[in-house]
Amino acid sequence: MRSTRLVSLVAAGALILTACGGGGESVDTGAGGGGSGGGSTLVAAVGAQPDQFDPHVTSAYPSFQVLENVYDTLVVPNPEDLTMEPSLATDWETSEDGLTWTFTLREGVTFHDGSEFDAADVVYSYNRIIDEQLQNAYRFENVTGVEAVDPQTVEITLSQPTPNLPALIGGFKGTAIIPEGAAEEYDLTTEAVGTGPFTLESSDASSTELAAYEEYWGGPPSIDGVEFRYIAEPAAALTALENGEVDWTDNVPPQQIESLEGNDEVELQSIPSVDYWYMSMNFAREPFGNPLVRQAIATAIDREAVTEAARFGAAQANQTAIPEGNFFASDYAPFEADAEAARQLLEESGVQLPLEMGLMVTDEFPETVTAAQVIASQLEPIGINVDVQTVDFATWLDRQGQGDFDAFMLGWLGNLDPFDYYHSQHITDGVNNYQGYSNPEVDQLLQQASSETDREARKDLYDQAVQLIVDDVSYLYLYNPNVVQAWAPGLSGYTIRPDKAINFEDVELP
Amino acid sequence: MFALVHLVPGDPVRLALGTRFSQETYDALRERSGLDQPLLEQFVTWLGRAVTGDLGVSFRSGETVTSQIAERLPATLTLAFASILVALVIAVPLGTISALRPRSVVDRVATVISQFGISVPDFWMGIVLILVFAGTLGWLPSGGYVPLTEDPGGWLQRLLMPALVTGVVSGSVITRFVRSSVLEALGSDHVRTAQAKGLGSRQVFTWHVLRNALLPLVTVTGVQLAYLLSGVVVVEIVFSWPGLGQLALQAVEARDYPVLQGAILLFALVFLVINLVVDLLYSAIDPRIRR
Repeated sequence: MRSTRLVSLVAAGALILTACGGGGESVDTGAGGGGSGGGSTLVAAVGAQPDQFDPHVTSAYPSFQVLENVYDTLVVPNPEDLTMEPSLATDWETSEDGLTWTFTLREGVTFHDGSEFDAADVVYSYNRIIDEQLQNAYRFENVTGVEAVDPQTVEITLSQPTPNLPALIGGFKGTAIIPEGAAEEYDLTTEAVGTGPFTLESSDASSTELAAYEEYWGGPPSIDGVEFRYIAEPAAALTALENGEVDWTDNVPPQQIESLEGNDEVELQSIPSVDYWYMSMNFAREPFGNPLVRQAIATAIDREAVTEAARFGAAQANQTAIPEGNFFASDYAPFEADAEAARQLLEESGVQLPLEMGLMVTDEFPETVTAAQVIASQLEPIGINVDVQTVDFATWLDRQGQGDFDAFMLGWLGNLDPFDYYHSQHITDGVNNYQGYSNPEVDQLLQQASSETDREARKDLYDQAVQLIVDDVSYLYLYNPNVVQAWAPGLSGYTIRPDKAINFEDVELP
Repeated sequence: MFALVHLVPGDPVRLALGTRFSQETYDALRERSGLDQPLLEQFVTWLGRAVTGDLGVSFRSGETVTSQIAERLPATLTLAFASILVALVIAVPLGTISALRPRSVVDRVATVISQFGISVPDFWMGIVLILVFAGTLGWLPSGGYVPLTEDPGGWLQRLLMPALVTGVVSGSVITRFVRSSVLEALGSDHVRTAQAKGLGSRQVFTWHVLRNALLPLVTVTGVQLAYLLSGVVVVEIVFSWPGLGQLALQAVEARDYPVLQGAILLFALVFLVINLVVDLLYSAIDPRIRR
């Protein structure tokens, strides 16, 4: 489908205007004045300015909102169920022992600087991340070598079978392919040389502008360009959408989601995301090392009420990490909000009441503050006094790293594989196991699951591990939030995705 | 100041890496950003570069601090001077009228207005203005900034609401100063002397009252201007105004030491320059100070 579209659109390429930077009249004339942008430039209101544009260095979501449209990876998550499908690699196969993966690369792909894409670029990109220990180096932990067999073939060798390799190298644009030598030739913090549907034209403190890339391997986009405008205040972003200054936004005031659903001026969509929010208690601090205390707390908390308060209903309560509908989701849900049962568990544990518990949250994620207040009110009747400690994120991370907390609440975002959801958080001494959980049985199951290549068998292993994790309350899972985005009525070709990747390649303006 | 910035809890490397990373990545980034060096050594390196105008490179963006500041300076200057203009347009007439008729209805109304301006949260005022003028009426864009040279009409449209909000806040503060200094000047001996000499009330007001009342006005305006020039974070965020306040806030949040130090250095310079200008204005207004 892609290739036929490519032919017809390249033929029409001469007719397509190039985007003009700034000035001009907006096509979307709403009541407001002063819209800017070219003839068919999509204006997207995003919450923050990208910190920089080097895909291998940044970890910031605002950067990846832009980079998603500029760079490509070998494989890419399908927009609906997030299974990995071809992108710069057209197909791939695994050796019998699971230790060698061979990727066949797409032909006829060019970078934005005109150079041809081939295997050497893949080798260069991955080695850059590995050798310089950049942000996503941990994704290549099992990789022992990346080799170009011929210009269209790349071979990745592994130290142990890694069934989630496609998710590791294609989950998002942090493992994007850049041309060989690009880091030396360009300043990648401000310039971008990708193979994606748009080129990075300019970026300043107000907006980032992209232009359609006519030579894009998937066929040039139907719009001339995209302007990402930073509007931090959700009420302002929504006003801008309603009066036609912008065409799209993901900065929707959560409390207005319900009222917007019947609004004709705005098309709003809200679908379950791959994120999850949880609370965790410090195993090294008594009495939270006592499983009965943790279970009492897990029993006292009414997840539905927490979810409603934190996200105004735009979320699904869950007792495990993976959202419903995912192949790897588990339906294990042993807890039922019951203050009486919780009180009994506390009594059994023998702890002295009332119990004081600090719950560390951060204003970087305001929903944690709201959720913590609800949790505090739910724990009070069973004799636990929660001190909600709201700190800035830098302090929060410091205290988490030092183990200086009774309990905290946070989320894991952008998870694709069950490995992302469970592994480093619960394996003994895992890099993200800040709570200090250790269960040899869980360790064994997680290890086995991480290299099990049969999908059904793998799900079975994770199901077993998850039951133990939930019973031990290593994490107290709360909910999976929705991804909420809104756009101008009549805008077509846009697909809202559970992984929150924002892709404007197929969009057509009204 | 350098030590203070570094003493704030929080690790810029951890913040830059987010939540998923390996220990090797952490060590490598710490080394690249020079944070593994002793603090004193970092300070000497920074100072050595700073005197040559090189304020270093942002941890977050990899851009130079000077270019980041330069990029945001025009927006900040625009908003600061526009706000001061709005503030003076409000404060001078309002303050003077209420001083001329103390305890009258006019005075009381003026007090209420200035009290309102001081106590209403600026983010609330900003959002209400956006909802009314950009939303319901649709007269103005909801926010943003374009340079004057690119689009003068758009520049003015986008400037109106933020300048009004910060101008009302500053103007309310200045109004009270104008009122009290005019009142004080009205009651002074030389004004009574001038009136006794039979000078017309307009002449007395212009030459004897206003000129004396100008001194405190210049001082408080200078302080307000310095405050506005160091960025008005809340208003900048509400109106998507790319000023220095947002830059400094982001630098604090990310513990981006080079940018934060650069911003603090700039704010210190702004205060120095404005104090100097205020002192020079003093001597222009009041020749006695020159002696």
